[in-house]
Amino acid sequence: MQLPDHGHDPARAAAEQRLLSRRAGRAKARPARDAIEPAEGGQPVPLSCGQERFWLVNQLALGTAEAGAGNFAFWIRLRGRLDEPALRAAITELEARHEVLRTVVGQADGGLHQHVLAPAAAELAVEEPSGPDPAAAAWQRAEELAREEFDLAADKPIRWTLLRLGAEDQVLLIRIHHVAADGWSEAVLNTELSALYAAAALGSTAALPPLPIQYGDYARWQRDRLASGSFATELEELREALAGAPPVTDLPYHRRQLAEDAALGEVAQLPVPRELLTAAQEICQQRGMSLFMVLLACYAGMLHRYTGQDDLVVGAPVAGRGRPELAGLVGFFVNTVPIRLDLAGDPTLDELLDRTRNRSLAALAHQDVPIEVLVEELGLPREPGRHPLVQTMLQVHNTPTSEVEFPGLVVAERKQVFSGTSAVELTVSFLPGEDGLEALWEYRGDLFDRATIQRLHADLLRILARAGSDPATRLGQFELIDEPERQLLQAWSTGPAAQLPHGTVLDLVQAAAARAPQQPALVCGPETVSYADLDQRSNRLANHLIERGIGEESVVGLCLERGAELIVAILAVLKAGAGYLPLDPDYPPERRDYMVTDAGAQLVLSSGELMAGVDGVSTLRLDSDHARSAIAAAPATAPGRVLDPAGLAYVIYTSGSTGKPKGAAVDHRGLLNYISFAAACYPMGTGPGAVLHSSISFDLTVTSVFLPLTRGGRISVIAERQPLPALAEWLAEPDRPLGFLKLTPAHFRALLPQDADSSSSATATRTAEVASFVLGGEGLPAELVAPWQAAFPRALFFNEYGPTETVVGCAVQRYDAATMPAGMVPIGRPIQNTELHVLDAAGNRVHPGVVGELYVGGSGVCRGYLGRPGLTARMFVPDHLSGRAGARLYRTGDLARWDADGVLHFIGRADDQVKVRGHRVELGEIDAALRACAGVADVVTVLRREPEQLVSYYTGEADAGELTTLALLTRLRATLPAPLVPDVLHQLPSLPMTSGGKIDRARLPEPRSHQHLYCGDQHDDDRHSEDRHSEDRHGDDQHGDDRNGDDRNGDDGNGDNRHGGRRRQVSEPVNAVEATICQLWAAALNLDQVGTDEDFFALGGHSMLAAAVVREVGRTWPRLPAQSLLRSMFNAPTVRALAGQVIELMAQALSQPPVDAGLRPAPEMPAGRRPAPEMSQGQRGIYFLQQLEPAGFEFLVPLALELHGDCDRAALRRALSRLRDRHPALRTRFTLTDSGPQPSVDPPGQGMAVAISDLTALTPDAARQQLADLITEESRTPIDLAVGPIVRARLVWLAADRQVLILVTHHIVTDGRSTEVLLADLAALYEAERSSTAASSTAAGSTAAGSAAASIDEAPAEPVPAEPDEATRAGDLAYWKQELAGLPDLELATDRPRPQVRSGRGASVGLRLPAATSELVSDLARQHATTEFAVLLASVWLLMAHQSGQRDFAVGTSSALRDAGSVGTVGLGIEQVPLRARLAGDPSFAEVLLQARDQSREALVRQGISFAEIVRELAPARDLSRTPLFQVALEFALPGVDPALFDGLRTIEVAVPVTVSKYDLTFTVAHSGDRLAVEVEYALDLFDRASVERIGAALMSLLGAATADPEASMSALLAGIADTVATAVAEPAGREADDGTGEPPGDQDPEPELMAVLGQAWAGVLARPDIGPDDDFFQLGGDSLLALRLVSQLRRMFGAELPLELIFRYPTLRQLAPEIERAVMAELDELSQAETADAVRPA
Amino acid sequence: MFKVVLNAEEQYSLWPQSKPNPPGWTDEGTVGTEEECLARIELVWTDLRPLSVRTRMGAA
Repeated sequence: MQLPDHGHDPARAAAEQRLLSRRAGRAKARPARDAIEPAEGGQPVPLSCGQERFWLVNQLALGTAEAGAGNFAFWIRLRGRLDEPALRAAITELEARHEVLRTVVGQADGGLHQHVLAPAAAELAVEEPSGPDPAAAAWQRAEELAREEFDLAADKPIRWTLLRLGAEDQVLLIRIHHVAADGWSEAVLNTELSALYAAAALGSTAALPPLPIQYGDYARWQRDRLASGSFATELEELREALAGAPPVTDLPYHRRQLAEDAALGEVAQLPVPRELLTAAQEICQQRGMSLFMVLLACYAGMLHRYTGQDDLVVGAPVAGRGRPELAGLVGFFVNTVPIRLDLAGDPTLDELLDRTRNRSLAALAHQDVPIEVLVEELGLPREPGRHPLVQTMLQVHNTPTSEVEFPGLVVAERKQVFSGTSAVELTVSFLPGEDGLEALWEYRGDLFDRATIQRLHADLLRILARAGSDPATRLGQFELIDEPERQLLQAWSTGPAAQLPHGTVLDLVQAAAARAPQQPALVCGPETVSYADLDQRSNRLANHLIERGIGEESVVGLCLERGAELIVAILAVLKAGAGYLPLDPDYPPERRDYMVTDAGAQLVLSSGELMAGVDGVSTLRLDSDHARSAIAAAPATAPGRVLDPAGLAYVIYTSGSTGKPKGAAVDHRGLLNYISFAAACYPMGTGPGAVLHSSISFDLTVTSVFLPLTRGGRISVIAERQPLPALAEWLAEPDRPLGFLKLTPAHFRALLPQDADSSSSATATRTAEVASFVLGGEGLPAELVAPWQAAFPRALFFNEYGPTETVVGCAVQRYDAATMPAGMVPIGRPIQNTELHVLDAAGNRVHPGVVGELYVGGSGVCRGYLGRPGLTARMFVPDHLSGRAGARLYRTGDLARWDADGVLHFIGRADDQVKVRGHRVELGEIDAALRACAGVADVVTVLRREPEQLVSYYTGEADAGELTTLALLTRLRATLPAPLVPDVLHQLPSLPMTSGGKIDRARLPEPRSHQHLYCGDQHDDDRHSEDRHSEDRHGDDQHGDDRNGDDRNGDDGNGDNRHGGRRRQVSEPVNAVEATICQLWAAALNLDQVGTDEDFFALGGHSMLAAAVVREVGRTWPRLPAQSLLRSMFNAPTVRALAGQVIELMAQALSQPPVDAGLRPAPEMPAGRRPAPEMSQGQRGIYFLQQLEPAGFEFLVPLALELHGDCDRAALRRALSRLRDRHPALRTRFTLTDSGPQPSVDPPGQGMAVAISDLTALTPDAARQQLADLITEESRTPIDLAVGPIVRARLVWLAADRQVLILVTHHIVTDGRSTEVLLADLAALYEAERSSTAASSTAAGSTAAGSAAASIDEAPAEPVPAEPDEATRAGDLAYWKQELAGLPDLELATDRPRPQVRSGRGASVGLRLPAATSELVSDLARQHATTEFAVLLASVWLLMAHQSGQRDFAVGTSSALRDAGSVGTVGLGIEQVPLRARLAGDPSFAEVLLQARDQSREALVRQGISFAEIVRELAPARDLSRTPLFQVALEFALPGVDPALFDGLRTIEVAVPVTVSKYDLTFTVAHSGDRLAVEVEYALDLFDRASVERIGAALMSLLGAATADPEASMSALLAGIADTVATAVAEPAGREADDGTGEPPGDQDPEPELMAVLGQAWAGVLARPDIGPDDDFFQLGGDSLLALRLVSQLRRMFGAELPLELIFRYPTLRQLAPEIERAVMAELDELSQAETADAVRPA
Repeated sequence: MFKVVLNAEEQYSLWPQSKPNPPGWTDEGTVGTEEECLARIELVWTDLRPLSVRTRMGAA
């Protein structure tokens, strides 16, 4: 039992004792079988949970900057003369001893297992680092090596390197992957290596104790325990303990943008002084705690202080070596125990320690439960690079230490070499230090910087010190800063103290008016109002207001257009002693009414129709005659009220993120302070004043109104409701004088000087015109200032920060592009009489550099929110920092930090710091990252709910050429942590603005859909991005990026529309790749169905499953770099994203546009029209589909021939080889080049790959079974088109005189006709080879044979069919376009809903027409001067009409066109044509037959264009669920193989089971003796066998009826089918009597006696009394075993060689009987031949 | 836990119960959760005007 501790104190011992006894109690309860025992060999050994995790870490990291993840390395410097052979011997022995050190990870059956390599001699690399300082060079080399990746599938997980520094100075560098070792293992290695080296050096053997078990035994034991549910109770307890735990513990990181070369894992070693260790140990003794627990409490306290998180999880690694048999093993046994800590309610340190102790003990009691299992159990959300439960760990080192001791050598140095990666985000390990402890902080370099880590360390120690000295202190009640920091922060946070002038701003305005009464106070259009006028007009109005009862603390609403009247009204309200309430005329009336009521306004001043009355509040329309005269009658003298500085000045409403707008009540003291500051700070130069251009509803305008008026300047009012154009004109006019302009950054951007760069002369004339630009209201990007600074080089630019609640501005920063960095302009320092504090969640000041919430204190703090005492009390809190009695601080809700110079930086809104899927996300940070992307102008990110998604809206700059979603996302993914990457990027022409010039979030358009975005960017390619971009530019608000997604998927848009109302069923696969991946996922997740936009991990997937899925994907598409797929599984874990990437990668490889990737082109396309090596369209199509499914066998062309007789097997093998030499097509390979797949023909002479299976030793039954298996296997073993060979053969020796040739080629080079050619050639070659054998065996000259062979071997000239001329092509195209216009799909009634994507899987049913019917078919064909094909076609048309109810559709064929094929060459020559049925009305069969005849004839001559071209031209709705144009085909089989094909051998074609179906249904008709046989190949997606049998029966019935009476009408014939089908459903067909319409098959049982005999045999085997002729053997309960028994019985009965597969192929009596008959006849025939042969053989 | 506190202007706020009051703030007497304290403040703080303003206006 190991506690993560090494202290020696009674308390720890007590705790340990408790744990031990608990465990002992459990151990007793354990059954004996629980002991780990050496496993028996044979079974694959699984990986342990820990190994699996590290395997995954390794897989994710391979090829990345983190390739060393999971590595650890030791540096052992040895001085003295090293006995290198002894070291090698020791290493060899050590590796031999520990299997885990020579174990690689194997993959099989979707699982991982350990594969132990045989012991081998040690591999000790020796290097001699050179340079001036070899030791430094060696260290550098060691660090390099430590980062070197292990390929766990191939490499041993340990590497030994000797770095020679000198003759007697060397470093032994041991690198191990965690998959094979933990910290404890290091000690084992050291001890054993020392012993083994010592022994080897002395020439003896080390007496190491034998290892009772190996690591693999442990892994298996662990897995068995898991499988047997041993942890069920513990998991239940843990689930309870961790219920509701935050999935992510927020760490106080200071994110950095990751530099290219930054190490992802960094290390800081910081000391814990002796006295603190002593203090900690005292706590341990007093409280019965371990040192681990004490440090954990302090660590958790520190995290809480930084984050405010009350509930956090810290991982504790435990050694996991509780069992004695594990102690001596090398291997990874460590487990991580998640400890959930409770910091709620500001506990005292006492409480914190107690809680931590209890929680730790509880958690450690479950330390055996592998964290991997727990994580799965809890189903926590995943993301790459972040542990789902444990982001931070703490440990106190407890592993036994042992030194390397090599005799004769001194260990000069022993240290760990870090691999530059970090397992979790932050780990702190405490080790014994020189004086006290050493804290080893391992942290992710992209999250923390070293200064942050040092601060964390210091704060942890402060808490520890406090816990020792004053444990009654509450955690939240002491500052973590030290005295110098405190003084610094105090100085920074306090603005300059300034004496305010007496009175209020009104006094200042009146003083200015008195100074220069005739100066214009305001200019509005043509109207100019002097100070004296303004004074008098406002006096009159003020006096009038006073008459109306307005006075101190009254609120008067102002709903007026910008203009003189407004300014007059503001001053009048103030002069009356009241506060004004701006009511923006642009606001909705309801909102204004609400504000009036909420603020308790007594009066509203309005004009015209701007404001209707509000109940209970009088409205004074200033333009009414009544009001005019009343005001004119009022005295023009000042009312003379003395205003209280504490009195109300104005009420401005601010909208809260939640709830209703709230009115901040600002008093005169605050207003005066701000205006005094502004007057002192913002130079107005010689310019005359300010522009008032936006609504006074925003306190931004307070500056523009009062600043000029208090200084005798002029307000230039822009009255337009859309002020920006006017303001732009204003700014463009060179002579317009202006001293001061206040704007928001959004205004600033909108008004950006166009000629800033181009025309310096134009700007020069403006140079003196604006003295100060003040920017406020939003964050100010420095980039925005630069063009303005160029345009107004003498102007000063200020960034002003301040909430309305603290009067306009409370912090200011001057910005100068020349001296200040880019990025967001800081918000600067506090203004006069103001304090700004950055505080943590508990209200304590935070360190400089640490982000906290900004609090404002001082004169600006307003009264609060009118009518909202609770909210006011919450936002305006007691000021505990200034020392001023009763002072309050306003909580801004803004996040800020101090930089090292005491300048404040705005970070974002605290309420922008939203939680997205459990992660704390700062929206501002996303904005900043996006804004940093080239071409992005402005950004706002919002969090939308339902679905929860981060949406970033952005605008592009005018010259941004490459602003693609992909580019932006790629960039964001590189710079932002995964949770912060927005789900949707939505480009807008401009961001909507409020009238106050801020971004109007409410008016941001709804993002339409986001799911396809990831897909979209994966699909992205250069070809598309340009179009898309131009569309973006012209898109309106509602479109932008999302529309691109639609356009991108436009090719399958038709498919979408076909589904009518169900618009964009995003969850269904839209292409073959998605469908395949859906299946893989569904299989992996054990689900029936997986939507393409569902999150893999949300569906219950976990990392290992993800890896397994990627493995399967890699197996399906072997050419893809699976590694990148694994990463994308984590980054965008949807089928769509993954499929997008697969297609993207495939498309890259194939140089085909990705949009085509999922669309299934015609399965067969023309070829042979163009000479090799150019690939035909058809070949390209096949190639592509094969690449999409490399393991698929849809395109294999298998053939099996049984050869009876005395075969010259050697000659046959040679013949096969020569066959390949003879036909270039069989030597073709298809390799990928940059321009797509390229065929290349290998030179002849390589022969053919011929596998031999000798089954002669088996019993005939077994041999037959084996043969069937081999045929199946061959027909399903894919051919790799790139590697070849494209043809292979297998010869199966069944018996001395029986052999089977299995020949498999690929459809890309052959079709049925070519097969004929091949076989004919093969027979000829065989004959030649046989005679050659014969000739050479007789030692005679082989001239004849040789020349025969030679002549055959000459490759025939490739006939090049003449290309049709253009006129023909055009004519044919026109024909097909007309012929097929508006052709509907054939919608057959199916047993199963049509899948989104057809699988191509199929099976077949065979049937034979009665002899009489067969004859009638021929007769009918002759009578109508047509072919049997046409009769069949007419019948199939009618049958399909019946099955679909349609009268217009097409049935395809290729065989009608066979005659045109080239003869004598091998190649792909099949062409397909659709033959359209037009069955409107009620035609007779004869009429339909004529139509069929004409159609097929016409099709024969219309071959100027290929089927692919027809498909392209007609562009039917692309639909992966069905083949284009036709879904049912009728083919005439090629003639069967000639039994006498091979000289001296009887050749029988062995049926290869049908496993594919090219169409929904394919009727293949063949002549079988005097009958026609029809094989119906059907898609397993759609049909059950029974239905197809019924369809077959219906065809026979139909043929019978139609041939009997060709004049019968379609309706009559279809009615007949309906009966047949119904009958067939009701009971097995064939029992009904002849209904007189022809010869239904039921009456045509060809072999009734045979059927009866067979039926008895079946009945016996199946133990069933009655077997109907159409009963299916297997449906009656037959299985393979019973089939075997049946066959063996039948063989005895008939004395014939009956293949087992007959039963499988013909599972009904009716089907089987003729086959038996045929087989028996063949057998007899053969026997007789054999007898004849015997008879003529000389004795 | 929090408590309701007020200053000389009878402006109310709340403060962690475990912490000593900042200068110039006295306990109103209510102790409870944040919600309970805010509810109390809603009840008692009926006039947002500072006490000095109220007094002066009342006196005037």
